[in-house]
Amino acid sequence: MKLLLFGLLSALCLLRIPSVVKVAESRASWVASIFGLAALYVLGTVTPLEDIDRYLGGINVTNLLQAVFALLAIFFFNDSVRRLANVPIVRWTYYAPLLSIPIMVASFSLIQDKAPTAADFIDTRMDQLATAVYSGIYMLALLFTVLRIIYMLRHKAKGLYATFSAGLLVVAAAVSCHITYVVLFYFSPWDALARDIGAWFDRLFYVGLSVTAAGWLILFLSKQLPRLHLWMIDALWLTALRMRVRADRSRVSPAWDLFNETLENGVYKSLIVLHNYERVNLMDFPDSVQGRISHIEAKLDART
Amino acid sequence: MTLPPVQDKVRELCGDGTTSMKEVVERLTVICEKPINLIEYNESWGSLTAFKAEFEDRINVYFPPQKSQQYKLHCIYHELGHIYLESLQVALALPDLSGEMLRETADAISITCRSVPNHPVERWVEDFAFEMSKKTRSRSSSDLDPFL
Repeated sequence: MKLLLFGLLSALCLLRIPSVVKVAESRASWVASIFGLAALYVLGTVTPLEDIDRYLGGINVTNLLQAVFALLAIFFFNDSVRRLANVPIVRWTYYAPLLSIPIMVASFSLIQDKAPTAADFIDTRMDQLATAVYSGIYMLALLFTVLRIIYMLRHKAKGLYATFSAGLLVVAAAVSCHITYVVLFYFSPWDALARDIGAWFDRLFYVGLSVTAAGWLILFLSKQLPRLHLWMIDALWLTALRMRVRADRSRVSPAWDLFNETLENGVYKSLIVLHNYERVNLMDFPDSVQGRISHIEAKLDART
Repeated sequence: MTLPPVQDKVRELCGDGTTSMKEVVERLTVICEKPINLIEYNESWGSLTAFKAEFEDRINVYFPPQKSQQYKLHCIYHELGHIYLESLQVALALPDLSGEMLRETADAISITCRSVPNHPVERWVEDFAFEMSKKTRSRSSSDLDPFL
């Protein structure tokens, strides 16, 4: 499941690079997916956990890093949802989850006998207050942010966006299981029950995140593929025409517009440059070329 | 010559949402305190694509008949960019006009035109026209979806 999530996030990160270059609004969600990948990497998804942790002193710093990266991922994801839902920044709810990071670092440093590297680092040290605080604060910050995202998405939760909310509800359930485990294990005598409830965290958490990431990828592809189909051939043809007739002062401008603008805006820009070229040189393109330009313009007019 | 960022100025003029040429002309009319007339002018244009003439009591934007509606709107937005930039007290590039055009604008107090030179002001108003085209092609606003 972790490997599936790593694959989904990697695909999203790579596919969204052009969009991140062009649209500033999409950068927060991209940064979120990068931190998500970093969190999965330090869990040992790609490189063995022991190898990564050995470079960091062999005292399970990877566990702290995974928690911090996951919190940052969910923080930036929250920021994207906030932009999507047009919710203004309210400082205490916006920055509160980040305040948990110094508390986590401090409580992690107070955990006794942190070595050796282990995937069950938390479970085997849950008898220490520092571990309970470290793990509890991390999960509370996650739960707070995830619930806030679900709340902000409540009006958008239709169609493909609904998979975001569904996935995040599963994550919230997983995190709630872990908080219950921490509280029961440390503050009650029911250790076995606590462990049973805690065992649901791993089962639910990565399923929830995978559903969210899959929904995100499907949403991205469902929006991008029709646009690619509609404009890609026209964009390439117009760019090639600009280069062939040398309509630009700079030879890199046509390619730069193709990369730096959305396809539709790139098509528009190329049309304007080609019309300018006709004006400046007091000429008209041949009928075949003119016909295709008119056809592309009719498509653009239909969207205005 | 330091020119303000185009996107900031477009946002100041039209806000974050979509807009139309009618709205832009109305807002500029308020800023300039003069009516702005868009006039299709069927004369010999040479390599010129549009020009703007400011009179004491009005501003006229002249443009030739065009087969392409997108290009016509772009050329008009370019001139509206000049009007907006002028309202921001920024020095302008000077145009070259034919005798006919000079006669037509004999009592104008200032004139600018779109002749596609590589001048900073011309680049600014060309960028302005491009930004305005994005805001009038309403459905492209889905590009702002932060998840995509």
